Parts: sequence; C-alpha cells; structure tokens
Amino acid sequence: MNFDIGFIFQVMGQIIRYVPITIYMAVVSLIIGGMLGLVVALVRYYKVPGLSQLFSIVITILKGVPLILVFLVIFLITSQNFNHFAKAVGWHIRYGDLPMSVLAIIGLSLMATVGLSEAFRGAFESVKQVQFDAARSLGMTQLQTIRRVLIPQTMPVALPMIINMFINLIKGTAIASLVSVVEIFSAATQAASSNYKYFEAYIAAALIYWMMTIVIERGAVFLEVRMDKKIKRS
Amino acid sequence: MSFIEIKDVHKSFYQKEILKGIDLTLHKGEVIVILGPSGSGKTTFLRCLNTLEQADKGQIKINDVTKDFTKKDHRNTRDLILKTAMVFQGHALFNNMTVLQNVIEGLVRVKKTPHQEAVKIGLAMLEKVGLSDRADYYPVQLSGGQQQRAGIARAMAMKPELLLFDEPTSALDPELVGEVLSAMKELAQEGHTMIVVTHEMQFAYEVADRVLYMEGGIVVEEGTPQAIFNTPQDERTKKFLARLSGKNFDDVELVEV
Ligand SMILES: Nc1ncnc2c1ncn2[C@@H]1O[C@H](COP(=O)(O)OP(=O)(O)OP(=O)(O)O)[C@@H](O)[C@H]1O
Ligand SMILES: [Mg+2]
Repeated sequence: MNFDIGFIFQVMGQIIRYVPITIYMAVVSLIIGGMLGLVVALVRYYKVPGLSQLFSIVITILKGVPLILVFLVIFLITSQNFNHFAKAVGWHIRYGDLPMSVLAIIGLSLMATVGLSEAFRGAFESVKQVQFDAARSLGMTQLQTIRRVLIPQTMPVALPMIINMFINLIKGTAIASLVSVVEIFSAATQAASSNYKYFEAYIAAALIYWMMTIVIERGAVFLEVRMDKKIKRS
Repeated sequence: MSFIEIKDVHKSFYQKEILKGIDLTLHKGEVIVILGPSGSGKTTFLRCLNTLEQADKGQIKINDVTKDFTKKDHRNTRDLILKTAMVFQGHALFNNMTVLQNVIEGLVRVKKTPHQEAVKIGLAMLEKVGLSDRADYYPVQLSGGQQQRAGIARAMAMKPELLLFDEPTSALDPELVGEVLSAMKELAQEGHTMIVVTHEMQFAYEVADRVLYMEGGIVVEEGTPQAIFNTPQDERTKKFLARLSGKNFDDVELVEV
C-alpha cells in the first residue's frame, strides 16, 4: 500500500464544504445547551424544591452514558413515533422530511446541557457570597441579582469550559454521520469509497477538525485576555 | 416617640438561641457602637435589622415604616430594606462592575433613578469618600481601604435612614483602617443615624453617642463611651475591656479595670 499525499489534499478540498454544517450544528447545540445548562445550574444552585432533585438525577444518568448511545436512543424513539405523533397533532410532515441535522442537534444539545450545567455550577461557587447580601441590602430582587451579579461573574470563569465544550461538540458532530447527516467525517468516508484510500481520507478529515480547533482556541485566548482585564489585577 | 425603635429581637440557629431579646431605640442622628466577644450575636443582630436574616420574633420601626419580623409581607420588607443600608466586612463590592457602577446600581435598578441623575449622585458620593479618581476602577484594582470606602459610598447613595456597619475595618491592614474610620466619622458628623459594630475603641470614644456591650445574645450594659470605658459596671464588660485593651488600646488611662 502506498501513501498518497496528493489524495489527502484532494479530499480536504472536497470536505471543506462541510465545515459550515459542522459549525452550524455545533454552534446551535452550544447555544441551546448553554441556555438549558444555565437554567439547570441555577435551579440546582438555588435548590428549587423538586426540580433541583429531578435535574440532578437526569444529569447523573446522562453523564454516565456515551454520546453515541444517546444518539441511537433519540433516533430509535423519534423514527418509530414521529409519524404517529405528527398525525395525531395534525402536522403535515413525515419523519423522512425532517432534516437529520435536527436529530444531531438534539443529541449534541443534551451533551452540552450536561457538561455546561456542571461548568456553570462550579463557576457559581467562585462568586463571593457576601455580594448577594450586598445586593439584597440594596433592595435588588433575586432575578436582578442573578442577571447583574451572578451571571456576569460566572462567564469569565466558565469560559475555558465553554470553549472546551464547543470543541467537543465540533468533534461530536462526526457522530451525526450515524443518522445520515452529511458532514466532514461521512464526506471523507464517501470520498474514499471508490479507491479505498480510507487512511488518507481520514487524515484529511483529521486535519480539518484540527484546524477548526486551532482557530477556536486562538479566538478563546483573545476573548479571555479581554475579560481578564476586568477581573484580575493588572 | 423615637426615630428608630427596635423591640425584642429573637433569633435561633438550629434550636440554639443566639439573640435573646434585643431592644434598642435611637434618635435621629444618633451613633451607636456595639462591642462584644466573638459569637455574641452582633452580626446576627445587624442582619436581622435589614432582614438578611429572618428574626424569629421582634419588630423594628424606622420613621414611618414598621416591620414585624414574623410577618411575611413583601412590600413591607422592601420598604424596610430601603430605609437601611449596610456596609460589610469586605469583598462586598460587585466584582464585575466599576466603582461608579457599583454605587449607582441600587439607584438605577431599585429606585429607578434616571441614569444621568444616578451618575451625578454617585460621583458626589465618591467625592465624599475621596474616591473621585477611582470611579472607573474595578474593585480588584483597589486597596482594601478604598474598597470599603466605595462600599460606604454605595450604601450612602441609597439615602438610607439607618446605616449598619459590621466591622468595616476588621479585615484591613492597620495602615488602611484610619481612612475608613474618618469617612465614617464624617457621616456621623453630618447627622446620619448609625449602628456600628467595631472594636476600634478610639472611634467609639470619639464618635459614638452610646456604646452597647453584648454578650451571649443580650445587651449586658450600655451607656456613654465614657461611662462604659471608664467605669464599666458589669463584670463581663470589665473582663472584655481588659482583654481588648491588652491588644489594641494604648491609652490605659481610659480603661480603669
Ligand atoms: N447562618 C448561621 N447558621 C448557623 N449558625 C449561625 C449562623 N450565623 C451565625 N451563627 C451562629 O450564631 C452565633 C453568633 O454569630 P455572629 O456572627 O452573630 O457573632 P458575632 O458577634 O458577629 O461574632 P464575630 O465577632 O466573630 O463577628 C455564632 O455562634 C454563630 O456560629
Ligand atoms: Mg460578626
């Protein structure tokens, strides 16, 4: 077997078109997961009765399950029930019409929710408690305190973990190929299907993932430097 | 009728009674200093007064607002909170905001003061505590003494009728204590009504109208600073002052035990 460097570049040229769909799935999942994760973290931080225990159980379960299983379960549940459900509520769409990226986004969002809720919870602990007393003694409501004091101080602390999650989501999109979304990984597989040069094709895919990761990490460093100015002593 | 009347404040934590019925009345402009050993309930008392801690019993009347601590009434609680302001031991500034943003936060968000007007008030308050040139600094960029003065400016911006200070200098390096105490002294001279928990005897001596000695959740003894420091009556007060003077009260003349 001879190694075909030229083919690597050829595949890279073909699959680079799927960078946008990959980023799209990762960004949407990051936003959904970020919002849900924040809600879960707040509910657990303030120990909202009932909900807090429920979330803690759900998070524990999801944390211990590989992403690929989550995907398959979502796929099985939706593929078997969606058509009945759609009919029952009078929607005129069928399962086959759904963009499969939606399934990927659901799975990735779940993963992001779990990871980010834990990240936010950890970051909440870094906020000095007496500030909440101060807020209350000024007459601020709990919601104002969350919005004006807690969350703004949480973000810089959680940022490295958010970036990390973003990178994991990008890589996690490869699993979306399971539910037949065409993205970088499945496109690379397809490119090699005629000449069986899978090794080169996967190196091409790896290089693309790697480049995206580098760009994100660079951006993160830039953001962190800007945020640090505020909260650290110069 | 007095300007502020505090009656029979009780508070327990886990079945242990920390405050066993505290009464206190203040005229407008009066400055009270509370002394007492660690664990005597000084912080708990101050926190009950502005409902940071929910007292089990008791009430407070400030001017036209009366609050029974046992009754849960949102509006009433809020009215009380707006009548009081508190300065904490330290690290109570909002770290994500500049000094000026800290000072105007309550005005803008709670009192809904227009932004421009709030900034004007905020800058005036910062001027008063000598921090005009630090308005755009973040808390971490300030010294401990400056942070405490900013905390005082934030409390004052709300125009409270009762100011609560919980050991505002106890976490500071000795050389920074003076600047905070003189800011507080100025407020006292302007006629603000204050309850100050502090072990700074010199401050108590010069500024307080009355000194309360607390121990075990009750007020053991109260009187003018002269009376408490020079001729304490209760054994417990005497013991405490002797211990305190051994540490940081040089002027032996003032404490004859
Ligand atoms: N939130 C709480 N939960 C349980 N116990 C508490 C709580 N807050 C205070 N206590 C207890 O109440 C007692 C009085 O505490 P407090 O902080 O009021 O004392 P203090 O007079 O301010 O002491 P210090 O001089 O050390 O500040 C202490 O025994 C303390 O352990
Ligand atoms: Mg205390």
